[in-house]
Amino acid sequence: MVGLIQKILIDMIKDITNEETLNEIKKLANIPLDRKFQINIVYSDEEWQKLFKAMLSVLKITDEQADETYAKYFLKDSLERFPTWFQMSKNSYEFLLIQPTIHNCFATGVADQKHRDAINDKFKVEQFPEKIITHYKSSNNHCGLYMKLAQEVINHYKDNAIIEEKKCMKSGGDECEIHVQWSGLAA
Amino acid sequence: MNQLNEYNNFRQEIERIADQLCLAVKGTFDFSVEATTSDQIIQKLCMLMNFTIDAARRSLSEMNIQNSKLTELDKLKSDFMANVSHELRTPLTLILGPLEGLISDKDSIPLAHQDNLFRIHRNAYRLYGLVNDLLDFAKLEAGKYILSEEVIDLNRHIKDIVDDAQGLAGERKLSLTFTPFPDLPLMMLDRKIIDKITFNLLSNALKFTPAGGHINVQLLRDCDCVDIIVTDTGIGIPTEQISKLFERFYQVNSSSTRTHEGTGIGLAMINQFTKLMDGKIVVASEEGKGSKFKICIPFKAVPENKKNQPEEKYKEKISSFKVSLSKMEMKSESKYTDIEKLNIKGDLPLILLADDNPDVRSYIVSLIQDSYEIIEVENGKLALEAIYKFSPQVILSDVMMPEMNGFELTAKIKSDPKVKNIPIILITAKAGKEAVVDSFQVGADDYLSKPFSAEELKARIGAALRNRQDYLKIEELNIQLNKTINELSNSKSYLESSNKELEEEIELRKILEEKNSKLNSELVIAARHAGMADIAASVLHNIGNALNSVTTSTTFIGQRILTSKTSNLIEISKLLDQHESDMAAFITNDPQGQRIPKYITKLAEISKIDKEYLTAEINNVQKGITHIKEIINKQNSLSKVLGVNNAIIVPNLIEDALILNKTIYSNINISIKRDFNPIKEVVNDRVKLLQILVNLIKNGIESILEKNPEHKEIILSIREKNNTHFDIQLSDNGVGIEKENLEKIFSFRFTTKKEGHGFGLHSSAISIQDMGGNLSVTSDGLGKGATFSITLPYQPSKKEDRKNE
Repeated sequence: MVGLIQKILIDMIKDITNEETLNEIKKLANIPLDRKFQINIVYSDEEWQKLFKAMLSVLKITDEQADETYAKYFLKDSLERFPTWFQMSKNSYEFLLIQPTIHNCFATGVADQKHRDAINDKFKVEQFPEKIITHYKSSNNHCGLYMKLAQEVINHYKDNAIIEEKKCMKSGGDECEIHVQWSGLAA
Repeated sequence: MNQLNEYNNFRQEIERIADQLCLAVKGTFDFSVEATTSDQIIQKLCMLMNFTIDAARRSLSEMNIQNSKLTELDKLKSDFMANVSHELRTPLTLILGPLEGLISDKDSIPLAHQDNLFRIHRNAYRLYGLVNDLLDFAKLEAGKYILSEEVIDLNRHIKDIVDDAQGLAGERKLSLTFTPFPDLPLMMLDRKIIDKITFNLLSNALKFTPAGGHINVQLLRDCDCVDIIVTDTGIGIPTEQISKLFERFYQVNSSSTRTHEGTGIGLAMINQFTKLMDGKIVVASEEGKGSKFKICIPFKAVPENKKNQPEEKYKEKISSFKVSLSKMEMKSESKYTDIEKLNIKGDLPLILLADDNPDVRSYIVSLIQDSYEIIEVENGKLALEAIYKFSPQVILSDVMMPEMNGFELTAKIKSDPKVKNIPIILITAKAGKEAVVDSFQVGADDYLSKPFSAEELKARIGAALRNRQDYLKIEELNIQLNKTINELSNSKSYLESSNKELEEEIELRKILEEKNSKLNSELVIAARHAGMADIAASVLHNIGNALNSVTTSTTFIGQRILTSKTSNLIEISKLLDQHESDMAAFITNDPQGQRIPKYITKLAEISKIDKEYLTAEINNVQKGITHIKEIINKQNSLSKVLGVNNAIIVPNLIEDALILNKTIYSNINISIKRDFNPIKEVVNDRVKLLQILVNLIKNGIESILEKNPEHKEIILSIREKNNTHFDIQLSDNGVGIEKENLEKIFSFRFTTKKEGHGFGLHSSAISIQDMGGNLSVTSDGLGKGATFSITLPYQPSKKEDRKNE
């Protein structure tokens, strides 16, 4: 998992709780308390999963609640950190089309081809007029998070779109298939 | 202090990143930039650098894969070319060998087959040359060409090649010279390569130098090299194309209109051969002035052990050259057709054949000459000229031709209505769908793919010819049809013209009618005014007469009063007053007094007579005034209702008309007879009818006065004509009307009276028409009186009705 994800999660926990709760979560996830996540480094998915699970446990929130809150923090952080990526897309359709490339950008710090490919393969996007189908394949099973993030992006651009998950790995599918259908996109 | 440390740390981190980026010079991009700093900006920078490096790495990887595939394909292609060329050589050898045996004894070949056999031989040789070139080229490409050096006297060798080409140069009206390098020693060279280089350069010079030009082949030697220089005064090469000359398959003019055939590998092969000998090529050229190709070959001295070895394979060289030359010999046969000198017999359907390859032309001609008359031309331009001159039935054209290609020719033909219906069959080297699409897209009627069979050629020409003949039949019918249409069109034009004239005449008549109508309206108004004048005149006349009577009476009354004796009564009264005191004595005694009683008696008698006279005259005055009053009343009633329909009691209207004329006839003894029969109620313009009646009565009176018969009579009658109309007749026994004037009597300005204005009867007639009726006259002639008849409807027509709306 690219370090930016963990970093934003840590910032979020610290922001909505306190240092003590954060340390509790870190302890529960077996993450050294002094660990600083770097945005340009890829960390293990397993460690991330533990961290996320520990957060749910300590904060006593559901996956969906966590995804929703995290998505808001993530978008806020990204808008400040990478404004160009948002400026270069004139609507949410264009942004979500380049989202896999942006995601892969974080993985390019991994010199090892095998690991890099594993990250690059997480997202594939099929493009249609006013519609995209995102194929998501990851042991992290964060299709819910993707949908919340996508919704935040759509809200940011003030577009109208319906997000539907037609296939899900959690339901035994070989991948998650998320359809985003826009209506009335500005030319 | 902390800030300084941070700054130094920051710099160190940047330097570390820069050091890592140095790996990029390897060009493999197989690295990534690492940064362990907690500075998020540097982290972001590293991440994006890595993204860029990764993009370059992926592009490089993809390019390598593509390159690898292309190299593999190129190798496969070269192998394929080599294999195919090699495989082709065997059957070609088996064609050429027996063929040469056959044609070596020309006399033994039947005349009918001679042309075909020599054509086969020529083209088999040409194919052999092309196959050899391809094979050499494939070998060079694959790096498999191995130099085979031998001892060569280059001066003699090049001279032989130049000598062999002299015939061709002569045919092309070119001067070809060779400038040897004196005392050039024998040297080690690959004879085949030298042959190919020299031939290619020389054949190019022969191809691209116009008649009258000069070609020189020269040998030069400096210490390390020998230069083969071929200079020509040809068309030259555009500067921007010189650098591409030695690229594979490149041709300066690659279009389908290129003047010369060729595969585009000749100069590329020279280049590769030269490189194989560690030599180099230098080209100098100026468009329109000529070119100079210099091949610099390292001088290789003959080893001692081979110095006495005789030259080998010379014979092979010659035959190899001849094979190559055969390409050009074919072209040498190609002499441009002079269209102006061509004659057509006209016995057979005429076919135009355009192809720059004389062998193809002669082959096609040999196939169809029994059935068709054929015009042969070498390019599209000449073909177009011939088409306009001879109007062939079918055009057969190659696609790739100099000056104008088959596509351009087709497009020109199909865009000109005069010739676009001549079927054109394109002969194309392309096959399959490509040939069909290309041919039909430019508008060709049919196409033939090379190689084609004689049967297919004949069948396609036959079909095209039938189409042409069908078209001509249709065209003939069209001409006839057009002729008929033209005739009809002419008739139509005539009719239209006549119609137009009629329409113009109608229009003119309408205008005249309008003018007439306007004039009539003006006349009617004038007539009405005239009528009114008549009425006014009659009114004034009547009033004048009455006034005269009144004046006369009042004059008489005045005179009578002036001469009246009643004034004497005053004198008698004064005298009696004077004798009031002695009245009795005065009357009885005085003589003056004695006459008074008698005088008073006489005066009373006179006064009685005066009274009677004055009473009569006053009655006359009263009558005159009453008559004036009556006339004025009538006139008032007329002036108020002009132009309005209303109920008319016709007898009363006649009486009114008579009253208005009374003064004229009252002093004349004219008998007015009335024959008034009962009729239905009449509705019409009362005033207008009254005017007419006044006029007619007045005319009748005047007519009677003019004749002045002893018994003067006017008869007025009213009677029903039919259910819808009635008549009013006025007959007089006046001067009558001459027969010839009867028709003119109602004409404008026609009058028989000395002081007449010709308006009265004319306006009366028009007014009656206006009222929906008719005014007519009959007369037995001059002096026999006349009868005017008014026929009017009881009710006005709709037109008349509108007056009331």
